[in-house]
Amino acid sequence: MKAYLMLEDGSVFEGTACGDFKETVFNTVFNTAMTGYFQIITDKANLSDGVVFTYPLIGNQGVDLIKEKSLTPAVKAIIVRELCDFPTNPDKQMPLETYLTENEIPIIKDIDTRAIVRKLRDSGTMRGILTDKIDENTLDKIKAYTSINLVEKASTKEIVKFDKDNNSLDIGIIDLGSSKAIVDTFISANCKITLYPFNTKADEILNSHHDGIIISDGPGDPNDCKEIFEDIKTLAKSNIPMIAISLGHLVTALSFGAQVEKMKLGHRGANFPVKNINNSRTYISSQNHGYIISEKNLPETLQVSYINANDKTIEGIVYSGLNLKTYQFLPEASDTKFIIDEFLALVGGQND
Amino acid sequence: MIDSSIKKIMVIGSGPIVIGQAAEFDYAGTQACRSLKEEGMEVVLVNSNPATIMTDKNIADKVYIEPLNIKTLTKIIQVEKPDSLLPTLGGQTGLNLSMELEEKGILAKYNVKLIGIKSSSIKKAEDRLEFKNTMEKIGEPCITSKVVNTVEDAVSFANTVGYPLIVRPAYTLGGSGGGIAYDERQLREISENGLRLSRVTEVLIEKDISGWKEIEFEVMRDSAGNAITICCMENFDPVGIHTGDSIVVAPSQTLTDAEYKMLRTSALNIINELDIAGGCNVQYALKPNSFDYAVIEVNPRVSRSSALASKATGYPIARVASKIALGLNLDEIKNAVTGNTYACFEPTVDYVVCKVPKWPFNKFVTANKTLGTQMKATGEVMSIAKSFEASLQKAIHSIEENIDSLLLPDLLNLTKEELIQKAHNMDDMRLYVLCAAIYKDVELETLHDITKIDLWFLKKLKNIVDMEKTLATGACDPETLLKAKCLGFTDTLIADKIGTNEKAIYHLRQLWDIRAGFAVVDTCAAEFEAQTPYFYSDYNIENESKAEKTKKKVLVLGSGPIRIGQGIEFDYCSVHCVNALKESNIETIIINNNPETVSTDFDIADKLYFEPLTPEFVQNVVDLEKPDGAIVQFGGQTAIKLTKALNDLGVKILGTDANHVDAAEDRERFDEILEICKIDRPKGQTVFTTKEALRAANDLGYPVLVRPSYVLGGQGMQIAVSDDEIKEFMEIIKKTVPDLNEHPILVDKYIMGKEVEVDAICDGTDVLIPGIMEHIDRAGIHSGDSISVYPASSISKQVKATIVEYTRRLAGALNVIGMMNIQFIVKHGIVYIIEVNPRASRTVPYISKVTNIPVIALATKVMLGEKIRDLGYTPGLYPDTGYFAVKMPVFSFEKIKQAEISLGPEMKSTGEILGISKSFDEALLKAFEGANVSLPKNGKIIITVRDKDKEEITSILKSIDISEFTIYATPGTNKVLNEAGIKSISVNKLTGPSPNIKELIQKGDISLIINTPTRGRSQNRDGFKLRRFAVEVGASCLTSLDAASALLKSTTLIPDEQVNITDIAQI
Repeated sequence: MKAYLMLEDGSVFEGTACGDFKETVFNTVFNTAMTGYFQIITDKANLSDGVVFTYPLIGNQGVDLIKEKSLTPAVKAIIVRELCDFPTNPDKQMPLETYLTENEIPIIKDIDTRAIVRKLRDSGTMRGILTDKIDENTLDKIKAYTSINLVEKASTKEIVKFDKDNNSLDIGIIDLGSSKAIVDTFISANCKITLYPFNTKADEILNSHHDGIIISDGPGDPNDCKEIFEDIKTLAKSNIPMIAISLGHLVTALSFGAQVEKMKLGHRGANFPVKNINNSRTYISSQNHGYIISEKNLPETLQVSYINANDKTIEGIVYSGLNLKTYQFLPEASDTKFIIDEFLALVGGQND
Repeated sequence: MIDSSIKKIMVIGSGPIVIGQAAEFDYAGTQACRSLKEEGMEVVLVNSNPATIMTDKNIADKVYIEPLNIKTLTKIIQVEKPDSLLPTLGGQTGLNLSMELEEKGILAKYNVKLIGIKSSSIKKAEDRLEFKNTMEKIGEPCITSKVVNTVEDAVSFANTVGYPLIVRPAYTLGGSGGGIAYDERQLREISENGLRLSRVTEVLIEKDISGWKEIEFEVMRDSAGNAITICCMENFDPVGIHTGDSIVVAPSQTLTDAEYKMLRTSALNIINELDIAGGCNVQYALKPNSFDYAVIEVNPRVSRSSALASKATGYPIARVASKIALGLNLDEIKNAVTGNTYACFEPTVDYVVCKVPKWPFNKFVTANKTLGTQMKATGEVMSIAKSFEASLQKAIHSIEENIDSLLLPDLLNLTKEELIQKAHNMDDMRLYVLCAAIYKDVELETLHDITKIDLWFLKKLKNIVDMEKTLATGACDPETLLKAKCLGFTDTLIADKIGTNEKAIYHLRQLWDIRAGFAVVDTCAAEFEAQTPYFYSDYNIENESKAEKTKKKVLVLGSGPIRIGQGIEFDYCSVHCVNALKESNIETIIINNNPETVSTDFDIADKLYFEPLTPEFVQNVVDLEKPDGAIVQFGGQTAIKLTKALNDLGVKILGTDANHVDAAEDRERFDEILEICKIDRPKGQTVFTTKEALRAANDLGYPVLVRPSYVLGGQGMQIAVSDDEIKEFMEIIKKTVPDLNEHPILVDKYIMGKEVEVDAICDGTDVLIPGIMEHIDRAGIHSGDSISVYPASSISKQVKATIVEYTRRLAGALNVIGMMNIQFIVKHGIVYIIEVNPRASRTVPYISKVTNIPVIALATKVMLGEKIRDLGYTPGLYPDTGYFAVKMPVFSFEKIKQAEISLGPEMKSTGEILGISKSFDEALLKAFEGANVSLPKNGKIIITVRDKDKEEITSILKSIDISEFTIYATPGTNKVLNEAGIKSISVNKLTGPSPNIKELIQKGDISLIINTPTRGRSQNRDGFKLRRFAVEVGASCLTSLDAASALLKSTTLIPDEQVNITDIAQI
């Protein structure tokens, strides 16, 4: 069946409907990673998004029946050039389309994804709609779409603990919505983990005497998290080793008086170079964000530690006088994993 | 920051094109030299290959076209005093020579430092044992293996780990001398040979992991330790077939995210451990459905894969690597493609790239076509599309094998069972066998079990086959047509399937608005706007190529994949043409599909279309660009073949028009022209059938020359001496020529004389001949395989005048505007014409360099309407420059098992080198040396020639001082030599009783074998076996008495210690 992606500037792209196709409105973003489509689909940082994959062949490895099938997708829709209906290993994988259909996610395929990306590149991120018919109301539907309080939707509703016998370190993670990757990382580092709803009060967290605290990534606008600014400040002042990632990094900066601005496009992909400005080393990082800390009026206590090697935007902050470092990129992914190791070493050192 | 101690850098090229080392190093070297000069460096370049762009004097400051050996390099270092040597640009040859210079203390002696890589790192990567130890140290798994130096050690290792085993010699290129052994007998044979070929008598014996996925990573690192991956490539064929002979896909298609990340991390660990400041290639074997992998090998230099990765992603690896070698870091180097990001990022692509090899099997009918660990392809093509199916089909169109449909009729005639059986063969036909089997409904799982090719790829082949079936039902609606185009089906194939012609399909597509669009290769999947106009076509995409008309626009057609008979020289011509057009303020558009070349670098032409060179794909470009003209003279036969199509599209052919191109190639029309010009040619006839060929041969009298019209490199050309041979050759020709009615067979009287060649530039009024070249080998050996000498010194002034006059007449009669190449035979002072090519030829690069005439630039300007006289040149034969230049062919026989090495009218060489000197004999000797034929003054020579050559070899030996040589001869030859008073030792034939030639050669101290073949193609003859044996053990074997005579003479005349070098910029 013919289907369309319409953007809020009125541009229309034609494709074929598949998945659980139904009219769906979203923020249209594109991701340039060539592998890891499943992680992108299930990343709650994409909760309000229709994701355009720039790589044209999506689904080549299907969805792993053991490791992946039970996870819930986060995206509102995916927009792909070609959807693979025959995974490389049919015994162990289900087709991506089947998985998304079961999870009621619509797909549009056979669409000129590069043209959409070029449009977004020139105009900035836009809202969009997937539909099988375009009429005079379609544009209004797009414009009526708002995505607020996404963190509230994405964050865990109750405290969750991951505890094994031989855990060495005790880590508290404040879940702004997208915490799976970081939880997995600390589980494999043998940590005891307590995952908190985003609006848990600082006192409650401090009462648990964690060795280290993490503020996770999450979806949407960091300004939506005003209610937790004070708690973040309280946690930071406790001097427990603390890192904040992506949305967490932005929310923390806001808490300490910095400003945040919406990017024209955002950084979404696996190939962003970040430069440690102290030793000039550059690392390839994974990123998934649409806001950035503003360089304007940056409070003095916020010291820039990493910048983007291409557009020079702020990628990391060290808070002077505090045991707090924050990162715009996802340090647990690929070449920046040493940041996690350093954090663990710091936490472990304090524990001794 | 740039290391301030680096000012003058020596760069060693990779030498002649051989299998395993082709144009990719000209591409990388040229790009690197330009990059170094951009940073203000002085560059001293050494390369023996005159057909390269990198040996142009505007690429480096000093250019030496000299033999690549320690003696010559030392001399150049003495003279030029470079402070640094960048060893990673000249392939395995450059790397090995650099290591040797280091090990022999020459670099230390002259204060030259290696940049880009430390010698200890080269050893870690190249030496089998050190490599293994290094990998173990950083926890990277290798394949169970053992380094051995004797056959017995190999066998005892085999006894502990079992068969099959892979044998890999150390320090060889393209896997020379390696192979898979399934039992002890094979192991003994392969390892013995491998030990002999290895520079350090060392081979690696390893557990066979055939069937694992073969994955390659290109990585880049700077001296600060910043490291990135450029591209991950996946081989369609699993481990077991050399990656140079595999279809390769980029990016990887079947790896899971976790597998990809695991190998990526591993590749970065390896480049860190090797402490490389530059690029590096890592090859992996990955066991399917597991996280088991093994590092197969690491190449700490630019490579064929890095060229492919550069073209596949748009990331200029050689350019960045050379800046890193100077001390710059990745975040200090701009990404020239986007212009506003930095080299420190990982390219991301939004298309699928396919590389398909081009094999030389049509040249070697007797050759073993099985693919294995030893590379056999001479060249390759690359294609780009949104889907794997379209990408693969575009690549198949690009290799110019006349294959439109992947379903070959011959294979469809086989039964299901026969196809399943055939699928076991790892050879050049496997892709087509798989498609035919899928067509016959063989289960994909069955084919996967046999081939271990991932089911994902097989399913993609099935998509292609299924579409062809759908089309065959006559389905022709907009949806089906769009789908077929998105899968890479050509209009001709669609038309053929639904039973119409391609014009009808083209018109339907216009009607339904199914048109090709062009997308940009931009390194970043459109995230940033790209500055470079590097395009590929596809369907259902937005067209990003804006065809604005600001100035005059000319289309230059490239020459496609490197193959025997059409090599790097045409890329040289294409690039020079583009440069000349740009000088004349013309917008240049190039179409080509060879990832190894300079012409497909992103900043050569104003616009690059990476596309098949076939009428449909060219038309897509023409429809959009509407060029003012097209140039077909510089892309070899590939471009010439497109003349008619371009003409039909209404594109003006610049230079000689299509009608006269045809006149030069059509026998009857050409005969008429010769008649008018009063020029003799060997008598001949045009025939269409074997019967007619026999009649013609008997009319003319044997020997005769038989060949198809419109051929390159003398493909299918043979000298026949009997009716039986005519019948045999006609059978072979019929298989390679699609339609005899369109391309008939020529039968000519064979005249044995001196072969002479000219390249000429003609402006419609005047003719400029840069120089006359003569062949050392008498007529009958293909001009590409002959030793060619400039200037021709053995022919009389009068003959020269005749040649100049004939050239002038032909240029006039054929209305040549631009380039022409004419081959003559001179016998008894009479000049006959053999053929005229209304295009640039193989000799243009070398004649340009030794005469200092910018031949291609002049020809290009002439095509634009300028006159030779106005360009500052005097018409006629250009005066000699005082230098002799000898072009020597180079062969790759050791790579092609069972190929006949004796020379004839069909071209067999893959590359060439040049010897330059003010003395003829020194130039000749240098040329031999450069081609790795070296004969010491006290060398041992084996002579075994056919009866009719015995007298001649005797007189050759008598004419020179042979007192220091030791000569062995087979009984027949020996008798004749002794009778003539020449001292020689009798030795039995190869297969004869002891003492025989085989034993003598095996001892390893034979410098030269002179053997002339008897007639017939039988592989059972002793001569064939001798020649193959010589090739396989790496002994020099000459099959032409003329060449042998030249070598003997110059060896005795030039002192051993004499080394004179020439900077060609001084000519």
